[in-house]
Amino acid sequence: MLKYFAKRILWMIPIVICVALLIFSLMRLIPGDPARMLVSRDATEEEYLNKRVELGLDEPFLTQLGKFLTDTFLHFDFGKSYMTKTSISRDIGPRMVRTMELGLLAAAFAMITGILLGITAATHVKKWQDSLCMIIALVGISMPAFWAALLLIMLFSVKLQLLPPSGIGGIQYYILPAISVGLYGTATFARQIRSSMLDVIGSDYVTTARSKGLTEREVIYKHALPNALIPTITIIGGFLGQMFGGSIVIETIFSIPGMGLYLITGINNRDYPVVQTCVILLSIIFCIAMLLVDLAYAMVDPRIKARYASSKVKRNK
Amino acid sequence: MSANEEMIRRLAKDRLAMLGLLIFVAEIIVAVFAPLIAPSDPFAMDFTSMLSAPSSAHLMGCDEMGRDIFSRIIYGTRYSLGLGISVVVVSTIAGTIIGAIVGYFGGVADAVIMRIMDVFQSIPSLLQSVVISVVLGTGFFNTLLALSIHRTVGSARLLRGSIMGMRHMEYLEAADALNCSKLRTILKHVLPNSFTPMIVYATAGIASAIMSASTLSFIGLGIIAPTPEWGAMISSSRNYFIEYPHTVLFPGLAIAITVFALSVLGDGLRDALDPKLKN
Repeated sequence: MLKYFAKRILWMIPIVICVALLIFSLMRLIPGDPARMLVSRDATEEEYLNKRVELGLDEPFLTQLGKFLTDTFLHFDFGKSYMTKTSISRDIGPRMVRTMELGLLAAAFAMITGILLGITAATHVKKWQDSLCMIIALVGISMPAFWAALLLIMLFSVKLQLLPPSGIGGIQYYILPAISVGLYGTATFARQIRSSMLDVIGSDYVTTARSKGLTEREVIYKHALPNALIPTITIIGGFLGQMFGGSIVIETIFSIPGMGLYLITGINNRDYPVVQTCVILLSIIFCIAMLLVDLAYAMVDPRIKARYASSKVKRNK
Repeated sequence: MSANEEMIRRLAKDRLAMLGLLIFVAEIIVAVFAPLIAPSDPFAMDFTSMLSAPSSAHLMGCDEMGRDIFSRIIYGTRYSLGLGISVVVVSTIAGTIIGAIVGYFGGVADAVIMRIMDVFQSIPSLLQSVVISVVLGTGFFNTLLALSIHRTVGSARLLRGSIMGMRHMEYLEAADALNCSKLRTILKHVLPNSFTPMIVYATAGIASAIMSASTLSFIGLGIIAPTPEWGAMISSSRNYFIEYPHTVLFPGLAIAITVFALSVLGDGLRDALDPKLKN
């Protein structure tokens, strides 16, 4: 199994390089010349050409690409922002931390509420609690994150004046964004946990646990839940993808200076290096997260472990 | 075909899925007959009723340009629903072609295309759509393309998976033994048998495509104002929503109801097609 994961980690290197290559090339296809945008409207042709040289845009595509790849992957230097002229490698650090904080909070929120809803539904199957939990889950799936964010601001910041509508600071600034990003996760976790709990509750070892005279609480939390959580791990992958995408939009709504806001500002300013860096780093984080999900899945499920251990290894996503 | 009848019978018993189907069909009708249903021109500006609250004259009020929100939502079905359905149709066709080729022939084509798809799948989907739509620009067809690429990879993988699973089935060996051409085998035997997972994936896909499309439009990519796409409507009224919540409430509800309908329909289809749940 170790060999399998070592192979997966090594595979990430060419994939990340290809992502970088793809993004770099796409950036060059964007209509609109960044040098033209950066010089003033009445700049002379000479000023414009100088700007192009300054940004390195006058060199042939392949030279630019080669320089970009060696700088990024050998020196971990993402270049300078066209707009602010500051080093992206330095700027990106705190932004990455904020995006990760938001992501982790959202994931924690989604897990906790999702598990609670799922268990409540599964232990009251076909009763009103079940219907209520599943309706909440369906509403969560149906609402666009950005719309939910606006509604939350309306309710908690404007009407109740409990939480700040935007900016950064203490934990209270992260509550509404985390809920907006995590809502979709809550809903998918709740649905998955309900169905896998129902599978598990009917199984022999749960009947055994009951007949041993354990309380219902012990049966559910000690015996049924750990096993019901195993299939849930697989949907974390999809949730993470959603979360990284969602954070781009949510950060702009709540003005959180994370990677999402950096990316959108970069796009609006034709700031190629910023956009490249954000996309590449978000993809690397995403790949690592997916790998960890697969690893966790293999660790907890002995059947999968056995399959990886056997010689015939097949990649599955 | 009795298997299909059985499936339809089971689907018909699922009341929530039927509600989803009803809403979906109703919205398609609304999209087709939008000019007949909408009370006023969705682009007509009326500065005397700017940001006016819902009333009998304007069922859902007016936006910041004094345009009738109800009419805009009616016309919006054409863009939002139209985009969602087109994305799924385009990506399913493209994905089927790619998936059928790699799944059936295997070998070098499979290895190369799968590695390319790995690269695409390691970029989070919305991020990918954002980058592509920045490159292509705004508008219906550019957004269609930006959203289809990620889904094409997904459906190609799905089809490849199910073809891999049936490659050594006896009926394919039989087709081979009868000297059936490869093209004919794929069209007549392979595709019909991989149809069910594709249908479920496609139904859920319309919902997620609508969601992604509205998100793109919200951040100013995708389809932009004054076109009445629902996400674009929310985006353009965003600065007024605290004083005039109706401007973002109704377009958002339109998205939520549509996604809800398609999600429950997708769930219903999946359950109806799952032989394990037969009772």
